Amino acid sequence: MLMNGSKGSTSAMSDQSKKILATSAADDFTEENCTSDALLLQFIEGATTTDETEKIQAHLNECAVCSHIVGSVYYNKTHPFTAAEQREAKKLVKRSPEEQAARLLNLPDTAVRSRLPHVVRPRYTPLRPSLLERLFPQTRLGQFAFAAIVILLMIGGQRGVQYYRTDYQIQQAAALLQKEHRVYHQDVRLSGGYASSGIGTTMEPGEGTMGGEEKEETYVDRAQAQVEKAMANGATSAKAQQLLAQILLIAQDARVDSLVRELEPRAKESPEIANDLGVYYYTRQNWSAAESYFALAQRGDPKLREASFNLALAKAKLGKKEEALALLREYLALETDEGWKRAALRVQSQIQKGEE
Amino acid sequence: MITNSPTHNELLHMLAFESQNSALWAEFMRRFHDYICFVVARELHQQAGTAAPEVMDELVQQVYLKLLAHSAQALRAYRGREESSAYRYLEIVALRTVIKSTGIRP
Repeated sequence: MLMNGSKGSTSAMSDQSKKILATSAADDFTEENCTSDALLLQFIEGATTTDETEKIQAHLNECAVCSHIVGSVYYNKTHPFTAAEQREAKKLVKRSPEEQAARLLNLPDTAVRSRLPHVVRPRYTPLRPSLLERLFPQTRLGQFAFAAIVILLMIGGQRGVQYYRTDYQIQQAAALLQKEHRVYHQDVRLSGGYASSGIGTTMEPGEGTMGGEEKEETYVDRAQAQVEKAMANGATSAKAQQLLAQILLIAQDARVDSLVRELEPRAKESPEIANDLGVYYYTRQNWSAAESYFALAQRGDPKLREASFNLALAKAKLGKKEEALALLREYLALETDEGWKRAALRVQSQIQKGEE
Repeated sequence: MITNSPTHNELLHMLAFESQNSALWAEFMRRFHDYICFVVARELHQQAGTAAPEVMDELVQQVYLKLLAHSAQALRAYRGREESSAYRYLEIVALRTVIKSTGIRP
């Protein structure tokens, strides 16, 4: 529907319009029976009378050319020429305005006055829009959608690479420990169920090594390398720090001391970190500090089975046997893993017998 | 050189009666040439999907010829209400010229 603000209700066509319509018939550049360009402008600007408006609208329903022109004028009004379009158009025009003017003024009068031949009749084959153009039409919305998708893909790709270099490596290192270092033993356990010592990490020297001179890389070394690489790539999460501390503890690396200092402020926020700090103090035979951290971890997450088990061990070390046995009973009710249950039952038996 | 700068409507009116005045044409070109080129280029792209430089030059020239034809009848017929009317009018002339000259029907 064409928009036209018809002005007034004058039924008679204005003299000016009559004149324009009359002259349009003689205009070589206007289709026969077409509305003249001057009247079309008045129509677009809402300056035509009611009669004129009706006639023009009827004509527009019939004439694809005029209707296209009106549509294009509205389109151009609402879609200003972009900087890219302006650049493109200027590139296409080889003659400067001065050259155009000079050429125009130097034309013989007859060329202008006489019926002008249609010089340009290129045989265009309208191009079928490509898939990209169909998906993202050359509209502002289409271009915006295309740009948004490209930006999102770039951000997503960047995030993906960063994720691979950091969090994924941390997950892989944790999975490696889960797979290789779940040793059912009667000692304190790190969060995630890993043994707190280097149990199982000692490997036989591989073939070709001379009498064990070269220490073969163990899964703990591999996990440590992965976590350190991830941290070098920007992984700064508590999980990364905690995993590195666990690995250093397992590997009995002295650097664990400084890492523990960094983790201590986070103990209240994370029961897992509190549990691992308890393990650290337990391995240093600081039973009361270990008990405090295990208790903190258990309060933070009553379902953290490692903390309950470890707390029972710490209490036993402090001579609080009844409390330790009560905790073990609670723990055994919670534990579903048969291996850990057997380990807990052995600990329970040792406490009852009064063994260290 | 135009000393007292006329409005767009006045300029088109002056050109209608002095169509061989090179100073007026220079002023007209300065104000409207780029806009006419943009309209022609966009229409060519929309109609044909592409535009060659030689075709663009010829089409722009055709627009000027149309304005001058029959003692500048197209310019004489122009009645602009606002300053922007000149742009709209030249746009209409340019669009019709492209459609007729290229033979592509919308």
